[in-house]
Amino acid sequence: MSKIFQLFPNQVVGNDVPLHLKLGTEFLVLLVTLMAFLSVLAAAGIIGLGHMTRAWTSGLENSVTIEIPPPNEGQKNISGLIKSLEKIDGVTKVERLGQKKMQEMLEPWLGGVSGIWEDLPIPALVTVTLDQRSDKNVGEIRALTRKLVPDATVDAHEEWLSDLLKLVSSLRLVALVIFCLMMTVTAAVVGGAVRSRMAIHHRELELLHIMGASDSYITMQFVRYILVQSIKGVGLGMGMGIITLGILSILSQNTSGTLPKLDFQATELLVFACVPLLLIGIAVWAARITALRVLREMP
Amino acid sequence: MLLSHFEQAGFTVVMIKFEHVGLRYGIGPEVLSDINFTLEQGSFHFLCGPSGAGKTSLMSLLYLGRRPTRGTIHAFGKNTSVLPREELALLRQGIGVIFQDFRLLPHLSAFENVALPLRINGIDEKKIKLHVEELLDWVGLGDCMHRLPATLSGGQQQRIAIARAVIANPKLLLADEPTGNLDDEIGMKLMGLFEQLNKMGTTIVIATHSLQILDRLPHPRLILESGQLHVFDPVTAKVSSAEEMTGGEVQNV
Repeated sequence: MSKIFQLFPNQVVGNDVPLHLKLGTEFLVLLVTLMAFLSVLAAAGIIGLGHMTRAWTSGLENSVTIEIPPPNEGQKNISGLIKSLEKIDGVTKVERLGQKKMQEMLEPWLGGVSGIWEDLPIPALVTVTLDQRSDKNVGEIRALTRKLVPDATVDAHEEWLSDLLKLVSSLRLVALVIFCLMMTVTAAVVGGAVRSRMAIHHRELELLHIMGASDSYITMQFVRYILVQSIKGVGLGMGMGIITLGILSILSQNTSGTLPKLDFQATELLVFACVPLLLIGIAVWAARITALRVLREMP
Repeated sequence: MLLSHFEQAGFTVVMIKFEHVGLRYGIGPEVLSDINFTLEQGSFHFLCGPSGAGKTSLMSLLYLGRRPTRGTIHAFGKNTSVLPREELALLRQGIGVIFQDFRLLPHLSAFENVALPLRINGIDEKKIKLHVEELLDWVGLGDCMHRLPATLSGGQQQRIAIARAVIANPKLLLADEPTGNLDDEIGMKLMGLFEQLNKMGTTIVIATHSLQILDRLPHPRLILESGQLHVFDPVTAKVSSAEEMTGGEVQNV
């Protein structure tokens, strides 16, 4: 650690200002711990909600379902409709849901009674898979279906998909705001701690000032103090955050699949690694700015 | 080098020059009014005056610990009112101050306290060790260098304060009642040290009430009364206004 400070001009060898003494500002570590913990959770929230969006929309955002009500003349024209849909640009696959699949879907409501399926007016379902969803290809599917099977309904999942995406985007925004708030509060807390320490040690600062200590010499002592305290706090907060995420990850393994798993990719882990660096950087920056500002009030 | 050049050329080198300096605290009355004087390089002055006359305020202006509310202070040839903060800090490094209450840092050992000005000046640690140990030996505290100030007597603390003030070889040495806590014998010994430093070229201003010191040492006295400054020369027994000692061009030293 001492080597880091030797990079700065005006090396600080001793502790001219007794910042190591406990004078009521040691709750700083506790506050930084809390900020780091909440920041990790907020960052995990931002990334996790992204996973959720992808999990819920994958398979739906690039598909369109056509429902043909029975009994209908159109049912006879299903194979014609499928052939026509396949010719539309961007359509990769058109598939009619087989009876077996339909039975599986309806079994939770109708039970496994055999012999009733032939008597039930079950609609025919056609799934159209797109390589890239666009207003143009969805529009063409609608037009073609209306032409070939006029009473069929085309469900592009737009309405609920857009509501879901809006909800998740809002939640991500909230998580981002919380994350930014944590950073702001960290800067404010550190600034307050530095200001209070400078008031406590006003006599020592005045003496150093009279002896010809430059603002950067004095500031460096506060920066070093805050660096050490914030490393302690961020370390603790990150540890707590990682344990909490680990527990949530284990719990998410046992869900039915509606909720996405909390598995982070390498790039996302890099984002997590940036959280402590960002917090420490903000703390050091706040300490430096505050100390310089207070010192400028001296003659 | 520059200094000796001026001296050889017959110039008087001005260390400090006050021009119409006034000082007030907040919205209160002026504690110092229209102070004009100069301190030449190598001069030795006593600062006298009754309690509350403004001696401490004048000292604080001399060590550039305050900015005057009016007027101009030139220190080492530079107008301090227009200097940036970093340059003011450099000027302060050339001034040694001995406070009446010592103002030692209680959490630092005697060694660390004395080493402080050298660390601030960015001196190499090996040189710091060498110089500080030598000076502490010289002031008779070689065996106490790792003790905290609280464990030392008043006289020992004062000697640490003095060592701290002179360690960086200041151009200007200011002392506020430096013999206040010492017995007469040590007090006079200390004055001998100041005389030696003065002979080596250090400009000295000592604020004192001690009649014994004032009687024994015939240096000019800056007498501060009701915020006004007068000069008394004990050799000629002449009192003059401080303006009369204002003269000589300020040289960059």
